[in-house]
Amino acid sequence: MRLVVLPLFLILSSFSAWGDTPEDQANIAAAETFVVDLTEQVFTMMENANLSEQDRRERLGKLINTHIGVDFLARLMLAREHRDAATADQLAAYHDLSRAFVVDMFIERIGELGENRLTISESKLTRRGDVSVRTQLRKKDGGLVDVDWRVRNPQEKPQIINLAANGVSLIIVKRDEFSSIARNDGFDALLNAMRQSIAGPDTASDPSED
Amino acid sequence: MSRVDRQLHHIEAMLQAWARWSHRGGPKLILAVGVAALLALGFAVANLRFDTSASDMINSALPYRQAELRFKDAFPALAETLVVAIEADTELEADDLAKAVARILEDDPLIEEVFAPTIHPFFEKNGLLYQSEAELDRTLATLAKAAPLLRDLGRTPSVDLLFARLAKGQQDAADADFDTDVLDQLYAEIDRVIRNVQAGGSTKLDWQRVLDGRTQTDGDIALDEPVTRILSITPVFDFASLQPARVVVERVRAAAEAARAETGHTVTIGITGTQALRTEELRSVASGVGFAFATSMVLVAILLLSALRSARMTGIAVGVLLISLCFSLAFAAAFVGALNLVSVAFIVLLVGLGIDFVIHLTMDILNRVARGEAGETALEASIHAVGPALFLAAITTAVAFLSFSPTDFTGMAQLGFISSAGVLIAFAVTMTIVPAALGLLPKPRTDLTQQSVLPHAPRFGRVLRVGVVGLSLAALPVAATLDFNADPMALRDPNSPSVVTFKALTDDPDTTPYRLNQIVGTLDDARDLAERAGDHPLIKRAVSLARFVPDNQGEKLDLIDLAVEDLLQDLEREPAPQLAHNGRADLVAALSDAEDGSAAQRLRASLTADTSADFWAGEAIRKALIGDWSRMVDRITSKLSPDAFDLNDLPPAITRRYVAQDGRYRVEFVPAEDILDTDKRAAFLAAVESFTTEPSGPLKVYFRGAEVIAKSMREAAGIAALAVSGILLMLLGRPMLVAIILVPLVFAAALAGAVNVLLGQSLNFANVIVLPLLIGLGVDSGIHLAIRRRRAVSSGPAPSLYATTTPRAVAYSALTTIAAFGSLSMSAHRGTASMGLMLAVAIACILVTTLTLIPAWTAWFDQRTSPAPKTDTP
Repeated sequence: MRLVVLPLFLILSSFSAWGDTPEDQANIAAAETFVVDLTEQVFTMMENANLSEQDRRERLGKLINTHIGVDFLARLMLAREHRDAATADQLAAYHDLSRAFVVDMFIERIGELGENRLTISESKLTRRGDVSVRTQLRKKDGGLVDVDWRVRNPQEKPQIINLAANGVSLIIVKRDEFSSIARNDGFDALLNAMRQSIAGPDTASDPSED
Repeated sequence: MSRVDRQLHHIEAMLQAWARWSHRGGPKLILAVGVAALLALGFAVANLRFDTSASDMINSALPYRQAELRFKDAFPALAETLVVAIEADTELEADDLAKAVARILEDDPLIEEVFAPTIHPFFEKNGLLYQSEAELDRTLATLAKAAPLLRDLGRTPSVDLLFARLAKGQQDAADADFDTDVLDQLYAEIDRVIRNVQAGGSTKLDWQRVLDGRTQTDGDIALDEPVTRILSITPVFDFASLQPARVVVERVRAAAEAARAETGHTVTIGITGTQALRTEELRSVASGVGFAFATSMVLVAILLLSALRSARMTGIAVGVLLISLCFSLAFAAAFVGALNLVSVAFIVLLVGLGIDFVIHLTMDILNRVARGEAGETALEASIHAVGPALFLAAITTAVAFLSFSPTDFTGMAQLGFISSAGVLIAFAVTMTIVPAALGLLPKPRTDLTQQSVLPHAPRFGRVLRVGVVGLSLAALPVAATLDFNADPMALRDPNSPSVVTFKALTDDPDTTPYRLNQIVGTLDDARDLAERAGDHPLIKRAVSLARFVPDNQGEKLDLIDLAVEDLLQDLEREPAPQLAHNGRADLVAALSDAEDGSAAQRLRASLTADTSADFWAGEAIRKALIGDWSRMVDRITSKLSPDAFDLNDLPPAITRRYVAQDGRYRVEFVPAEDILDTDKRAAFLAAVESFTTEPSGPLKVYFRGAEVIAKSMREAAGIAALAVSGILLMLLGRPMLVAIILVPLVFAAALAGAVNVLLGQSLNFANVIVLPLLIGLGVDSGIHLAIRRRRAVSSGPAPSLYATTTPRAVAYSALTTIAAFGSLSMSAHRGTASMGLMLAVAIACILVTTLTLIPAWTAWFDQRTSPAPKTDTP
């Protein structure tokens, strides 16, 4: 399947680059290559039956830490009003947790994508100079999802700084979720929610036990 | 002969000479005076103007007025604008209409500038950057969560496709892991709109407001409240016209009508602003005063007929009045130039005042003629009996009116000045025309003294006096609660369109005209002041030019980019065809598990309430749900592409409003709450003053204006009381007699104050003239009554004062004044109406106290001071 994906990617990327400058075309091509390589690596790890679940998560974590703009995402996921209102200790705790949270979030999202049925639909330069690579993925339930990968610095040190599923921006949804928790229940509640999310659903306390 | 009598004798001698001269002039003199009056009227018509500015009624040298004038000089565009409020059903429609109106007006040579931030291309493009981060988060989160729907509906969806796509909403939320709050809002709004259309309504779904996420913070409010867009228009006013804004207002209304025809939207338009308010106020005042003048003339004529029992005599009296008015108007035109909201009342005032002299003099002459005296003899006797009192009344009234001259309340000083002259003119015209018309006087058959106005007063005098004094003393604490409303809006016709619009704008702190301004030297000063003041809980925001460059633009642009960049290209696509089939059935099925009472459950009910295929395929439901979809997509597209900018990129229309031509900067303070309540206004003003040296703005004008007026009233009342007392003391020489004349006025003031409190009246810019008038008019009655008895005593045995024509003349004088002012109370202009009502009440109270107290008190006084008078017969 991967053999099918690459030629298709090359053909589409040449079309999608029409009208852009050579520099733009190079950026788009680099971004698409980056996305394809990244997803290849992810899918390879996920398909590797020799890996334990623990090992798979560790390797995926390393990969994501390298290829995802974790710090950028962690910063933007917390609105300034909450950054300004938090104590130094709370901010330090958020900083520690947010990296793990982002890695975990990506592992979870990618895990949901199921088998590696990736097609690049189109790519474009955004007004902020990033490249948005749109791919189509087939979920485990067979449904198709458009996933937009936002790639920053595609030729130098490429990093994914956002994902959008069917147009829904991951970073915006998470920021909204974080704000809602911090506003309604306080910053400590947000930190607790992040800890529970990182630890997984099994470790979450059951309110009924209280 | 006592000193009092000597003084009165000198006055009488002068008046006798005047009367003889006038009598000799006869009809020729009347004709000459009439012609002169017509010429004077012509002069007045050509030169007399109106000035409806309430702030101009206060001394412009005062510091707060100077600050106001400096601000107007620095920012002239802010001083003379029309504010147009355009109201429509949805944001898109309001924007469409506002743009259409603005475009039409921009081509009008009478319009210099149309400024509308909400539809200005710069703010449309960069509006998201002006949102707070919390607002921006909300908007972006809503858009992000609605992205799957927006992507699949494309630009030209059908209702069926909308329903089909909504049926997948829960799946969208699960796919992208977000909550369903936006979906629930959509269910609720679509349900509301469907039900409205099913009921025959034409409500449209306001996608703009739903996608801005506003309903999330506003709770479950229905988006059925109208949307308002504000245009600030700088027109070329026609200041040569009596109504400078009339033509421009007509142009704006015509533009709104054209915009309505062009867009097909329903629109409500309101126009306000200083000049619009003035134009309508002027119309209201002019028509009110005109109507009141006509009514008062009719009522006065009826009263004169009743008092004089002669149509011919009534004609002469009215003629005297009209001639007095013509000369007084000419005087006002020559020495004042423009009448203000207060001084315009002198026209009606003079009807009441001018007629007094005629009534007193002619009633006495007629009475003597009725008793068989010859005309000239009767004239001489009447001049002896009432002439000095008329003279004294004219002098004291004129002085009382002048008492406002030294105060800072220039509007009132102007009324006093004109009225003072008017009173003297009326006295002079009376003394000229009545003797000249002696040959024209009819021979009455009735002795008017036989028709006492208070036939039982002598019998119940003591009871009445005790009652009036007791009531007055009881009224004092109530009268003390009479407050002063310094808001010029309280004077205006509450139903006039400009006032209705003004109040609607005032209800919302974002649009309230009650703002304050401070001019500072540099941008840094402006920024610093705005930052310090902006933290105050009573100040919603303090705005300097720097505020128009939002901070944290980089992060905001990052967020916008990450939220919607991919969505933008999707919006151009056509809908996915596989979704467009029997969407309603899909949605009904998708909502089958909805909880009872939830928005989803209600939507399911409305979707199944009407199974007619025609309804769901019809134009009504399409227009209601997605009629504006394509333009909504355009709006989203345009607002989702902001660029970073700095001060240099701001539109000139903004810069002009925050940077003066001399390079200084304006800081604008917006109240945190609606400040219709006076205490809240005071608190807001105090909050701003704690940060500034000399803020300006309507709010400051009202408050400082109220202080000036209150102080002026106290000063003027003191001056009037002292001056009138001094004159009376000088001419009469008896402090006790002066007290007898003045004390009833204090009682009348207490009674009038209490009655007005009970009637719910407040003092305002227009009706404060009641205070000097109480002294000026009230003292007249006292003088007439006291002097008449004195003259009677000096001529021989003192008759009962009730047996002379004077009480009757006093009563009719008061009634004509009440009629004159009472007719003002019917004016649509609330200031004029309140002035009429308050003065009518005051005159009635004066009538009661003077007629009840003065005859007995003067009798008691004469008993003590005259050598051998007979006492007042009971």
